[in-house]
Amino acid sequence: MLAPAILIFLAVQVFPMAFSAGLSLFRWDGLSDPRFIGLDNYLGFLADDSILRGLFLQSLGNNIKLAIFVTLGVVVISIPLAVAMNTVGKRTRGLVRTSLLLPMVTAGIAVFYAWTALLGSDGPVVTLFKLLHIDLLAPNGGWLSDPVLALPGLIAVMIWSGVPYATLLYLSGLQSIDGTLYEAAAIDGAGPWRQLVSITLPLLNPITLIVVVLNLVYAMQSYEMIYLITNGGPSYSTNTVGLLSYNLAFGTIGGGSAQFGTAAAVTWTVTVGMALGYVSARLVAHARRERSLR
Amino acid sequence: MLSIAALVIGTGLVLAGCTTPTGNGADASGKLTIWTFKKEWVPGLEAAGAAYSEKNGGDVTVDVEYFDEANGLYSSKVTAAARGDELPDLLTSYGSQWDYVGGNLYQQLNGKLDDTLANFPSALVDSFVKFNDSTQATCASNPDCTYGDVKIGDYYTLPQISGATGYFYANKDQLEAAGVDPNVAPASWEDLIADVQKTHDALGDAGGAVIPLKIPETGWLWLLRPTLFTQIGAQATADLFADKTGESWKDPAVIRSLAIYDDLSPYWIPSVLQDGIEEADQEFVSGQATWYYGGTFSLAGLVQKGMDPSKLLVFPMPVAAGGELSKLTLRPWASGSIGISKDAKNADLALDFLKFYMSEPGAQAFASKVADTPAVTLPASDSDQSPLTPATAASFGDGEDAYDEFVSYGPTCDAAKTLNNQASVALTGLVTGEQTPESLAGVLADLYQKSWAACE
Repeated sequence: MLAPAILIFLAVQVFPMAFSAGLSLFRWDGLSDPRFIGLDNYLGFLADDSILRGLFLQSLGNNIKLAIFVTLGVVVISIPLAVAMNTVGKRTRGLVRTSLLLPMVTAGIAVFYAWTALLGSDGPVVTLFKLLHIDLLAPNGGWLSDPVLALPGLIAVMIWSGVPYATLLYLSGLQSIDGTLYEAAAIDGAGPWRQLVSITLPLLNPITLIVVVLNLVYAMQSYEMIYLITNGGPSYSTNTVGLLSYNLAFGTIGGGSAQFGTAAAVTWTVTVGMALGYVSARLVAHARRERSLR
Repeated sequence: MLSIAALVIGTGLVLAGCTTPTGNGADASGKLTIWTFKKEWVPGLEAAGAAYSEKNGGDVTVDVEYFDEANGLYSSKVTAAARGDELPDLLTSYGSQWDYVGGNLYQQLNGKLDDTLANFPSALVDSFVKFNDSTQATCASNPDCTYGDVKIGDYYTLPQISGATGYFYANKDQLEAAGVDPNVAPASWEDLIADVQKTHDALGDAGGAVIPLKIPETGWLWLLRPTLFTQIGAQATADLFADKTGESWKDPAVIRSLAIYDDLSPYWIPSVLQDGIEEADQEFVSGQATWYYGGTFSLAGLVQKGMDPSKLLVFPMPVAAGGELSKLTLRPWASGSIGISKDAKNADLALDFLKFYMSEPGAQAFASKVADTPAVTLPASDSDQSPLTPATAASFGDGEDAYDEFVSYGPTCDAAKTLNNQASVALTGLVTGEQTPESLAGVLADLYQKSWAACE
């Protein structure tokens, strides 16, 4: 009974990963036969090619910034939103939930172009800051043409995209919390803030973990939105590892020749790095738990 | 029993007699499939297909499929089809045809279309059709070159269009509204900047210029390199990129060239860094920019999006005073190489179609639907209304002082593969205000020095 699911899993998850890992050991332009070169693709951009290494590190830095700020933003906005939705009546909650779903169901490309207009030179964001005389936040070319503001602009778009799903997760988590806990706390004199901090947030920890993981993955994998909105510019200020890999694979950055092997090596470097980071974190947490038990 | 057998055999014979013969060029019937990455060429290919079918009185169907390369779709499609032996009869190469040749995607055409080659300018045949010394040298310098077995003189494809990059397009209506003569191209770079300033002052952002800088290489390859070429000359340009210390980038004449490029920075439309080719075309056609910079290939896209060619003033990039050259001469290139794929089901028919398509009637049919210039030499026509014709007549040429955009400058080893992109992105610093010509010269010096060092 499990066989079809396992087969599908192997076909769409395991095979592409294995193929990609294998590809990172070859030089291949997609047209001629692949040529085995061992770890040369990895050594190429980590050691030999200082220019590509610089670009890789800058892209990785952008991914880390996205991961931190998008995750933080989604969690900080979704929790109060879910709490607010949980306190209103059922009918109102239904209406708000429906409107929250809009970003999730709107076609991605329409969303991206809408945000491009919002953050553009004549868009409402720049116009508002011009009216408030905050020139730093009102560049002539709009946020997405400014090397300093382009990444924050993309962070805002990604938070906007991530909040609906996270809010729904938190809302379902809130609705599963036993109401008697709040009654007991109220009897003991705990106010709303105390109840939030001591009951709600700790019980939402599992949901928060899911939201954090999902948004970290989203931020580290981000490519298509950035390709559509800024293509990694201006001045690589919004370039990410995913976009770098795409551009290497299809030759838009490598002098016109597709470089699937190098592209695969770039993504696997980050994947292995993240896996090692996860394992280290688990080991540290395990060691701490052991120490606390003694 | 016998009567049933006779019926079956008889039916089979009748059906066999009704089968349309395929793969026979002389009968000119059957189906051909063609793949292209350029949407604007589809009507031209279909028109050529229809003309071919009509000429032969046969039942030829030419199916043209287009896959947008902007998102890597065409490359993915060709890669997948090549692995599965599912390439079409005729395949257009995106980028260098020799990469496709190296991947064994094409059938060799030596001896099969030799008469047809006479329909092209001989310079184009030598540079872009046949495998030559220069291509061989490029291959030899690249350890990953896949077409090292190709011999001098071999050819596998024929080009569909010819042209060059280095042309300004101006919207005549908007020029007139700003008080600029819509029928006179600026004679110098200084005159151009004065006109751009006038349109910008009169029309605001809509009086500005656009170039698809979301692809930063457009600024570097299309505009800066020809500027350098005209300012410091052919030999100095080659020497600049060959300088392994990178210090030549700090030469005053080079900084002056960067400053000339920077003259346009205040006048690019605000969204220029987010505009790809489609967006730039659309913004120009919809009047959000008065000036557009591109190549001869740009006209087809603009017309396809609704631009009336008669409303365009087209002229080659004018040259700033004080440079080595007084005008920009452009060596035309050929592009859109098309050949018979290794998986062609109707190779003979495809060959016969190519002979027709790359002759005057086929090229005329293509040109009747597409604003691009066919590579096949066509006779001059009084009815030619293309705004490109006077511009190319004034700028196409050959010789030492002709700018050839396909000349490869700088280090070409694997470690320098992202150099062009990095330099292109650094150049956008002039548009964002992060760089001045002087600081940019320093950045480029550092970049080229590191690239040459990585290639040692």
